[in-house]
Amino acid sequence: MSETIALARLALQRQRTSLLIIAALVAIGVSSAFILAAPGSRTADEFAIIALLLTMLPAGLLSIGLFSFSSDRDFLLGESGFLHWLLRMPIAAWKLALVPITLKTIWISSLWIIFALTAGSTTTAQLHLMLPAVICSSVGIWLMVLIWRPFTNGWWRLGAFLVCSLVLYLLIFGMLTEMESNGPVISSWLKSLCTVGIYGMFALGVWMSVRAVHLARSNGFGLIPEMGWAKASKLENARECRVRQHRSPKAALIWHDLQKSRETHRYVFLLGVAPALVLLTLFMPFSIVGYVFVMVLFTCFASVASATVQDHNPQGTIVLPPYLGASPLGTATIAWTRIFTTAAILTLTLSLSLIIFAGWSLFPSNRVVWNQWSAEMAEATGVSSAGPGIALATILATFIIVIGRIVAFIWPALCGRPWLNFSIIVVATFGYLIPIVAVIAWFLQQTSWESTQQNALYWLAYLPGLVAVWLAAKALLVLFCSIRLHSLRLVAPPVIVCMIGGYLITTFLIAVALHLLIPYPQATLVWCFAAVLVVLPLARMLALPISLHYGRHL
Amino acid sequence: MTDLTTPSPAVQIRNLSRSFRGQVALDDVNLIIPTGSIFGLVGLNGAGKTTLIRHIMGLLRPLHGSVEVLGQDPIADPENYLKRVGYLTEEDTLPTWIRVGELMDFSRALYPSWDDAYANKLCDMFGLSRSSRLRSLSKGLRARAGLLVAIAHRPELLVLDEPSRGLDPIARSDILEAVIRTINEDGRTVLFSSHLLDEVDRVCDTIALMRDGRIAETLTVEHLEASYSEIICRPGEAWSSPPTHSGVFGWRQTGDEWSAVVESAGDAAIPDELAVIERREISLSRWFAARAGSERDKPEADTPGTSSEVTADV
Repeated sequence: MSETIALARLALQRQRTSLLIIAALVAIGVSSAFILAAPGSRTADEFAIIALLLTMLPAGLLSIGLFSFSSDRDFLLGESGFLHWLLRMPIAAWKLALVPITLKTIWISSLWIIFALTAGSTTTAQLHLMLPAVICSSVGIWLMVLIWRPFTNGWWRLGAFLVCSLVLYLLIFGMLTEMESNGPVISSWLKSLCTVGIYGMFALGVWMSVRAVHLARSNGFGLIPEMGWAKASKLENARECRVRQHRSPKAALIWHDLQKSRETHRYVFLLGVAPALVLLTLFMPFSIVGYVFVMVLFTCFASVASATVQDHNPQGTIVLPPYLGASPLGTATIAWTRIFTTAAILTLTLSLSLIIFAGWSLFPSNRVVWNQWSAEMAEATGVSSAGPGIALATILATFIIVIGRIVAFIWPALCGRPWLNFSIIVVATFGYLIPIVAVIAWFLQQTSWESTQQNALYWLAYLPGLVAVWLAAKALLVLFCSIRLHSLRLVAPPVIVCMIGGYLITTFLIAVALHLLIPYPQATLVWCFAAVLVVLPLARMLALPISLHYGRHL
Repeated sequence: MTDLTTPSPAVQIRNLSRSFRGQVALDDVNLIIPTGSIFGLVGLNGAGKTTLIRHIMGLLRPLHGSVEVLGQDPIADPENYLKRVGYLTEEDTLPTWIRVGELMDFSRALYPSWDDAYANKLCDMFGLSRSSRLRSLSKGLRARAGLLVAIAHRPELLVLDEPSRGLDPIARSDILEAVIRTINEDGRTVLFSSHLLDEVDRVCDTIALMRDGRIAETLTVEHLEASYSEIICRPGEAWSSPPTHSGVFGWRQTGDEWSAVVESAGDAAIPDELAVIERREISLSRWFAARAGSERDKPEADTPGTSSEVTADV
């Protein structure tokens, strides 16, 4: 068996599961598109394209990282992410680089061609075949270059990542502009430049990947300078480490978790939050779209900043390292302290977005837009403070939704069973996607605004029943978790009662705030309370120590 | 010989079995570690030592059988149980972002019995500096930091899973052995798993050999010397394979001489046909090689006509 075939087989075997998942997604997407695009159906185009996007987009995103022969090393380190044992094999560097590149290019191009041909057959859309395939492959290849190449430290890698992202983004933007027949007309030399740039980036990526493997072979642990690094290390170790008296094990764990994720926080702040604060305040005008963009962006920052609080293994499961697992910290203490730290980091990061809103208020043009919108709201509701009320309620709702959802999905990972974690993610994804798709599909079927409103009111009549069932199920789960917590001797009953009491008080206070802020009569206190009860997890909070108990004592 | 029926043993394991995806890791293990002993756990790779230790630490739940350590179930109340135990794992899992001083301060908050003076003394003894970040330390120094955290709260039971990994020979003999002896002098128990048999021989008073998830044999150092010896044979005619006798195992060929381990130290146990020219005191490594090797080769030994009792050295 030749080296090339051996490498190709290794690449395929390493990611057999991912390949199967992607293939399944593609099969589902393509077959759904053809089924939905039945002749004579009025909404065939929309349904087919939604089905294709919902399956092919995750398949495409998953494919970007395939075949990369990379380990699970931290992206923010200087060392090469190429499998070190493979670098030591007597195989030419160009083969080590070109085999995964070839596989990735074939795979991604095939995906694009399948997508374009299916979209062309089932809808009126006519998509280019060549250029998008090349640019998508380039994204995957450049990602490999950045992972494989050793750097002096993580900052250089991150800098290179940002430069590459910008160039690839501009090229994709140029390509989309060129492909869009109704879009702005760009000059022919710019079109040519874009095309040349796309092919150039692909070729450069291939060449750089071979260079990266060459470099990684003799600098696997990073490009360590002879002088500067040693000096920095000495300086770092020379700093005095004062004695710290932690008040309690809980306080020590909070300190530990914050210190552990300090480096990630620094990266998130310097590379994400700080530039976003400056750029969005100065260059983005106030609008609803701008508000949504800011909240989505800061949700992403908050998720990244809070993710490092937990310890992850390569399977993505949260596991306790032996020095914590074998420490005399109570299981409930670890679980709830970590959730507290996660929620605190999320709240703090999301709160930083308020600086942008404050900054926007300094611009007269933004104040005009705000006043106009506020007046419209006041007129529509008959409440003079409707605008600020709605804005504050939206911010509060965003905070509790983001924090609630992130905290709600930590428990499956804590129990140290990758299959359970994966299953819950799949079920939850479909749990969210199915209602969204159903609502979109329903909306697309409507013929007039009046009938849409009538239909909406008809369906909304079922909402109280649904909420009641949801809350009853939640209460049952709370009861089950409480009994389990007690039977496993993880938490004393008074603590469980305090937890439930604290949760009810918090949700009630939030509900009162929302009730006071929202000027619409439909937002009664009962409805607000029910909504917050649905959004903020309790059973899953109680399940955290149980889950960690099973993860700690496998 | 240590009395293995001590009424309050530090560790008591009964019929413990554990499999991972059909692979048997522990098979009906019964083990008693007397309080105050230095107990060595030896065995080939994959014998089940780490799995057994993880059960003792409560990191694995006993699915079959029971584990009782210091009179407690390690799973039932880990918070109070782990305060009494020190653990150093073979893996280099301490956080690298932390400074030595910060690690000591963090550990002090977790262990009520943390002895600051002792910790500082150990810090000096191990050549560690409070301000050093763990990622800037060598593997050996990180192992010393782990050892410091494992013992500075003066645990009633110290569990060391391959502690010598990463430690240089000087650190092993001067530091590790000294620490183990110091702890044991206070009447505390040490469970020590290692591949380095000379170290186990020097330090431990009781040794258990694990093979294929079972405790193949448990014995004290005195019992080892009293119960086994090594014989050197020089047969008149060259043996194509060594003769099979009960109680004689672990054959090894060097030139025209053969050596083996005999189970009973009595002369009567050795038949004349073996042509014994010398009888030596057994060393732990020779006993281990013979026991582990012969156990490993057992399936072949069942086949008539094979030289399965011959160790890999032949």
